[in-house]
Amino acid sequence: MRTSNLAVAFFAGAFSLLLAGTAGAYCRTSSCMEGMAHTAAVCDPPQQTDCGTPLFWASRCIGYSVQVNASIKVTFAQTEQVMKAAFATWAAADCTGGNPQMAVTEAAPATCDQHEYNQTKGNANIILYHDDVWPYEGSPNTLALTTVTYNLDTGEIYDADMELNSADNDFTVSDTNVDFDLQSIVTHETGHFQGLAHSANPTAVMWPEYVEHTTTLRTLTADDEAGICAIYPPSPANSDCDATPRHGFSTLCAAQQPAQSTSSCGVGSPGGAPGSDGGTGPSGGVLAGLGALVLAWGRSRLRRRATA
Amino acid sequence: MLALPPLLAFSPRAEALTARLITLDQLLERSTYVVLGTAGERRCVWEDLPSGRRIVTYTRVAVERAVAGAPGAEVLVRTLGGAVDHIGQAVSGEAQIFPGSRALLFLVQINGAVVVTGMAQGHYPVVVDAKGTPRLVASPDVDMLVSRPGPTVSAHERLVGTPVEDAISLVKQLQKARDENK
Repeated sequence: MRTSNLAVAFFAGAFSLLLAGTAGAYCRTSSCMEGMAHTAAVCDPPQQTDCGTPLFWASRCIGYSVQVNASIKVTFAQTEQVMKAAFATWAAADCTGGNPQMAVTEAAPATCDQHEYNQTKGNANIILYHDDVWPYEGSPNTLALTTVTYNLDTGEIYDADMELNSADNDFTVSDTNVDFDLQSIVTHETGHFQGLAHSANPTAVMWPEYVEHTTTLRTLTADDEAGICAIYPPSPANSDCDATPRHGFSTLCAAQQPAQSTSSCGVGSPGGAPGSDGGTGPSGGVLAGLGALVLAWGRSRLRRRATA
Repeated sequence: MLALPPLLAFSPRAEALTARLITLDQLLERSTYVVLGTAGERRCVWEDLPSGRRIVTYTRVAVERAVAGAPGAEVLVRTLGGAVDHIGQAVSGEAQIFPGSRALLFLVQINGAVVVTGMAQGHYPVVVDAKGTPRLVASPDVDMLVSRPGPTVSAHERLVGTPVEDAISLVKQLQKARDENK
């Protein structure tokens, strides 16, 4: 399909969807290769605008790291608690005969205070605040932003980072005197983190609207559960669950990590296979400096939890 | 005043932005240009930004009408996310401007780059309805929006579903009022 036709078809479809209304439907974020490669969505039941391959975490394990400084408004401990609760909400989804096969665990705190996906160095899925300046020009209205990096051909998610705009907003973590409820916002964001797009069901956590001063998005609906169960259907626990990020785990930003060794100490199959990101190391095979030490601590925790 | 039901704000494309709704006046205040234009070629590159190294997309937009500001005949718009080689990056509620698409765009020039004001909240694609009227729709990446308490109406509510000519008139009226109050 020619690109211009693609644009017309997409917007025409979107417009008819908007005007005609639609039954509730969960949607998965997807990699669409029609025209120029772009991010799209695939829904159930299908929508006119569906396109591409849904995104997913191939290992069914995610480790995330809270940035060590957290925020002057929300402490590190509070952030840990909120993140844990948000991911636990998704993990407890009722898939009729089990829970989603996805182990999400907290890894060592990140010192890196930026969104990054490193193609030749270690990575971490970072949860970070911007207390001083929200770095996205023209968008101080943004509360939270998640960046998902993925393989265009397979839809495999490589990395996800969540940035919270504490420079322009006051998040609250209590059940009373709620302003912008961090747990509600983060529960929605962690749905994206795991591969969900917005739902067409107005009651769903993944519906693209949050009403200020409420905590309703802390609780999943059947539509949200159907979505997460479709991505990660229940199956027996995977004892080999490995949450190591692509190219290894590091709490450091790329600039602080030592240059990657060119010696032959790498193990596993080389990167650069069709559909890979062209990195020089194997997935999970390159550990960087201090990050390697932290990983040793982090992975033992992850494995214990994943098999629990 | 157009107040649309929540369904009209929905597009099943978005990833992961949570944002407060902004008013049309705020959108205009933050924008250097407002243009009706058609997207042309685009290219994606890895770029170092204050937020870190990420994929960005540069889209060439041919300006059909300059509604506010003086952008010239063409403007190069930078948006977050895109695809380079075999890697895709989905960035949360950012405007996705497809080549060949026509849109009303609120743009801000900062540090040499032109970006969409308020990300997807500053991008309103034009679609011709069944009666042949060109109307604005929500950006495909408009993301999780926080309902605005009180009587204020968001730009999103005012513009989505509005005929293009009416929307342009509205923006020009607001711009004129802003200029007169300076």
